[in-house]
Amino acid sequence: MRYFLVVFALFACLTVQADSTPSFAQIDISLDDKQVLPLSNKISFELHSSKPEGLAKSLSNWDNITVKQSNDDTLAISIIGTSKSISKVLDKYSAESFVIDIEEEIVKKFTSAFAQEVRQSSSLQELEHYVHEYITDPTYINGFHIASVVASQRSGDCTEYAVLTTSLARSLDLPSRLVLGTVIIEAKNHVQAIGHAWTEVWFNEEWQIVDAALYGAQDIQRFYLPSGYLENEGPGYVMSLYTVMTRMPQKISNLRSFK
Amino acid sequence: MNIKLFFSTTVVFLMSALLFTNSVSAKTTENTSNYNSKGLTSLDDLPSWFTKSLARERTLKTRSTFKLKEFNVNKKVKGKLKLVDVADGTWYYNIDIGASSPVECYVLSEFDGPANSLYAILDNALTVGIPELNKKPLSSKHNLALGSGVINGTPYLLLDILYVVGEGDQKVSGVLKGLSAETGETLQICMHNEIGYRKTFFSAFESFVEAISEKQIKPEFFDTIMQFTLNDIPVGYSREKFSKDAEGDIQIELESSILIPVDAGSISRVDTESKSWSTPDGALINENVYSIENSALSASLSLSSEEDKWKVDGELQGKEVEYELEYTDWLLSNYGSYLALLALNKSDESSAEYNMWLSDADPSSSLKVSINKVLDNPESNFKMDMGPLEVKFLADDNGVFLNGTMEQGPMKMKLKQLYVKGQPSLP
Repeated sequence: MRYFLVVFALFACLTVQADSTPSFAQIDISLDDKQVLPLSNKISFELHSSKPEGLAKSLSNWDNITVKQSNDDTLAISIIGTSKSISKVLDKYSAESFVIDIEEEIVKKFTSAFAQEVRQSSSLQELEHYVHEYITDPTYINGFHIASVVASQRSGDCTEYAVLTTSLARSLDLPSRLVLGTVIIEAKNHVQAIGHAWTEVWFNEEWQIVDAALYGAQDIQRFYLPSGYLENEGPGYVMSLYTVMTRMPQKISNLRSFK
Repeated sequence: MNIKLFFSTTVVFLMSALLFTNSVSAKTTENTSNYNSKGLTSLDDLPSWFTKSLARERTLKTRSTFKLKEFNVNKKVKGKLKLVDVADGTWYYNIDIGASSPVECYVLSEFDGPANSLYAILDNALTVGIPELNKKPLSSKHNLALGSGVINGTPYLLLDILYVVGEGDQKVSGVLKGLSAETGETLQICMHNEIGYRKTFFSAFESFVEAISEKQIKPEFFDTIMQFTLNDIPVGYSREKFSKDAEGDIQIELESSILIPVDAGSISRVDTESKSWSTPDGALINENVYSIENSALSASLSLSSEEDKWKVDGELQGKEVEYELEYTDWLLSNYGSYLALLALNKSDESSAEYNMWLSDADPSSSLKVSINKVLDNPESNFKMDMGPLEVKFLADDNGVFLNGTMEQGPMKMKLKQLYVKGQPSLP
């Protein structure tokens, strides 16, 4: 009966990186019949999920996102601009953990190289850029690697980019955490939704999104729809991934802009 | 208390000497009822000569003798088999199937697993053998087909790759087909570098594997093989075997091999093996589990009981780990999970709860697993909750899993029984 866990442990980690998209991370998305591109920075849509209550509860931690349950498996969601978390800054967002193992030598080496290169970080874009350049082998084949493995192998997809970004931020004494969810990307002629991972960093007295995987991507705009944090950064992190994955949307429909 | 030892090896032996051809010959059909694959690449945009070549087959009338005394093999197999090379723990054969290129087969006594080793051998052929043969570099590769199934009680994996070598006018395309099957002590991997002959190739592989598997000692009283599909793509299998040891305990072997096409040309591969022991009443005694992900050891963990405490040690993502579970009571074994299902089925209760150690989810704690009866549903008669996961499944009267489904976001995972031998209870 544990068969499911074996596969799920792998595909829970299939997310996105840079310019291409892994097959299983694509989420079916459709525009409202009357909607044409480009979109404004305010969108609404229907989201179909097998765990709508869990997702609605989780989304209440973010400002700029409003949620209403329209029927058993559908949520009516609106996003205005960039989603911002309103949750508290906890000590654990600055701490060493099994996943964010900032005390490992290879991670220290990675972060000290940033300090030498950048000297003083004045913007979070420098973190995005540094991690984006550091990972020289973007690939979807990895499951979910901890920071020391990513720092050593310099490869991975969005989860590895996010793990490394979180480590870098914590090493710089910036509280940070790994977020998993969906990114809605508006390109010139189309809109797509993809399972994704990114980092939230406490900077200038607010949580800000740092997305090294999509750094430099040629999209028009992005909307981040978080499903939750990686709450357990210990050796049981896979169960925490499962928890967030259960809240991922099955489908997004009737996407439209509003004023 | 039983002390059991478990051994793992991570050595892959790679060698390949490939032939390449695009020639077309007459089409006949090989009868291969076990052949099971799903196409991943649309053939609509391919030239007609290519799709025509893809359809060609041969009937294997020739038989030859396959002898391998180290594993007590001496049997006639389909095609004309020739031993080409022997190195430490590896036997390399060619089988003439009447096509321009021979089928190349390996018997490996040390290996990573059916998924990792199959991929490693095909990848080596694609990056070294085929470019050398064609004197052109590999320019692209696409996942053409994936499959899994059972040959005479042995699970297999299938991976076909469409590749292009050279650039511009000098481009040459081909198909590299691969199959792997683990039979007790050895792993068999065959590949064929020629467009078409898919069923002919499978038939030769089937015969090769059967020759080895029929000589394996099979002490298990229960053996079941499940196929995984992810969004209807067959991505692998899981096998569970129960046997009784000299002390009357149950030895449980669980093997899973998975190939996931993560994009058009990349494959993620994972092999996991677990060996555990259970008391006859379903309580876990100890367990050893290891996973190899993309040719690297990702986990190697042991659970044991010491002074009434559960202790975990080993390696996880390259780090040494050592934990003591907070939970100290008895844990349900995989064998016990069948007994639990049977007990629930016979009782008036609607659900039952147990604690299990599921290292894939959280090696540092026990997990509460709840099994619930599902009434009036022809597709599932049980539901299992493991933390946030919910699995609905159909089991027979003996508690044997027949099929199950789990949906998470855009992904639908299904499990289907491909093979079963015996019953999951002591004879």
